[in-house]
Amino acid sequence: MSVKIPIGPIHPMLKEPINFTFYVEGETIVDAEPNIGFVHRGIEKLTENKTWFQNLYLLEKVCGICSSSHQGCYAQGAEMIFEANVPEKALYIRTLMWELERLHSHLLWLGVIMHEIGFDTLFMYTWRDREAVMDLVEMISGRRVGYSINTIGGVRRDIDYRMLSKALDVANFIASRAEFYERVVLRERTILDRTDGVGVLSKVDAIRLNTVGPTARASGVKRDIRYNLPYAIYDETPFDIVTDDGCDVLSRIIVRIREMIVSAEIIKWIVFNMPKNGPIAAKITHFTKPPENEAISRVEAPRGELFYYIKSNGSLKPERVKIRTPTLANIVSVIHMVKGHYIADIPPIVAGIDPCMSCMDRVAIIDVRNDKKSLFNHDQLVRYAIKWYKKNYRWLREERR
Amino acid sequence: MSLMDELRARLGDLAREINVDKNNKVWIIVDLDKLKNALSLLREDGFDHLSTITGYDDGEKIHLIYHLIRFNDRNSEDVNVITFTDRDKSIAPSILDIYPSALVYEREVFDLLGVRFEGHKGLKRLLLPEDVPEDFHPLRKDFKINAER
Repeated sequence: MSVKIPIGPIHPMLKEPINFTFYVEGETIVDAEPNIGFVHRGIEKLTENKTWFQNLYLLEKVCGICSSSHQGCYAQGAEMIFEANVPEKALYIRTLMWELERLHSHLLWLGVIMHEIGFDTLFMYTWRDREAVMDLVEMISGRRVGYSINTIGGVRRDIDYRMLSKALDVANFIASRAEFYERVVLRERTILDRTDGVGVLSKVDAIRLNTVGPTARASGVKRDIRYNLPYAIYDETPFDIVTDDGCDVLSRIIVRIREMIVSAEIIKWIVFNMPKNGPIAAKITHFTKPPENEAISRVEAPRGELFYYIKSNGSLKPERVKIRTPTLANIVSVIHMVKGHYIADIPPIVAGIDPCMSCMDRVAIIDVRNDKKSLFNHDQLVRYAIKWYKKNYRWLREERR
Repeated sequence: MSLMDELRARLGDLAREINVDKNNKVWIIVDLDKLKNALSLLREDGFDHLSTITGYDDGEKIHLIYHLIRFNDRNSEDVNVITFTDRDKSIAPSILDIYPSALVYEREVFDLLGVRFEGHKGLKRLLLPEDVPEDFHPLRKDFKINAER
């Protein structure tokens, strides 16, 4: 096998492969080993061969769901290097897109986790509601995925009152739906049986393993880059960090649902406070040469802290772009979470950090006692889990009490 | 500037230089042999979040940058610790005992830049396939790709 450009960030977030090896004793997992790198595309090396503006559209493709976070994070870092004065209205539009992205990402994830535990009705519900956000995003940027709204120095498209009034409708709609989901999740027996007490990550461990995003906040860690190290307009936006002390998959669901309500509030605040007129981008052309400089840009993507380190050497191309995605930061925590749980709990635990849907495309199960190795694909594992729970749920329920 | 004074007093001789750039980011330059001491002092002071380890090859030496955050509500602070390692030998101490999350980051730097972290058990490639040659480290500056085609 020969690989020509083998550098770049790993994104096990969409339908992309990652391989885990779980070591089990009977039904209990004693150790796990993730093996990543199957979708390595060499993006970090490629950025060094493209101009500052070409990189905007390359880095957007790092992730399909949080494309705006990646592009915005890169643009924010590049603006520090170019020493650009970004107009206020551009920051408002950028933040609006970030929050809409959080809404549709969390709705997508909520559907996925319900699918993992075999509750497909709620999957259909959340994905239908997600369409409202997608329609609005398409109205604002022209595209449903990969909006390309950011540019170095601002944004590329202005926003008008029709979009703002629709944003208000969508925010109200999603907030009411989120309240409904919270009610359902906290009362529905099917969900509680599969998620309550599953995949525990204590607060101490979450801090020790540097867990980020909603996964950390579901363990009671009050950390949110939007709040702690505010960027764009978040230092004036009123909002609270959502945390929960359950430390299990159920709290991860609750935290994300409540975050949708908070995001809807932020969107409403943005709509009411958006500057009426004014420029939307600073003047930086394709032939503007930046000074020699380096910058650090952090953004709270839907999955957690997204990190960019950018260095310029004074030419039209960046010298180095380093990307650290939230899933890579959380992969160590997953190893910790699955230990001591049952094989049937793997789908909700791994989906709980919000990685890709087919993360567990090929799971190797090794029984330590008789060294038997068998390969499951994702569908087989989900079916196995549902069957196993049907057989065992009575004593499990007793045990968890 | 209280953070700067605090860092100067705390790190003392361990830091070769402490700078603040235009974007209010703090850069602490330390020597390779003092890296672990400096990081464990910072860890004790509350900088318990390691964002990542950046490796960068400037053609002469390899920069290793440790990006840390101290979370404290609205007054959170972030610092960046830079150290340099030789390009040919490229050895650095592992900080796994201070920051367990460095597990994947050190493997990534080893994979793409060929820095061997001493004390890291199971240091193997993270992103590239296991069967690529041993000296295949694509983020080094002498690794050229065919971009203009």
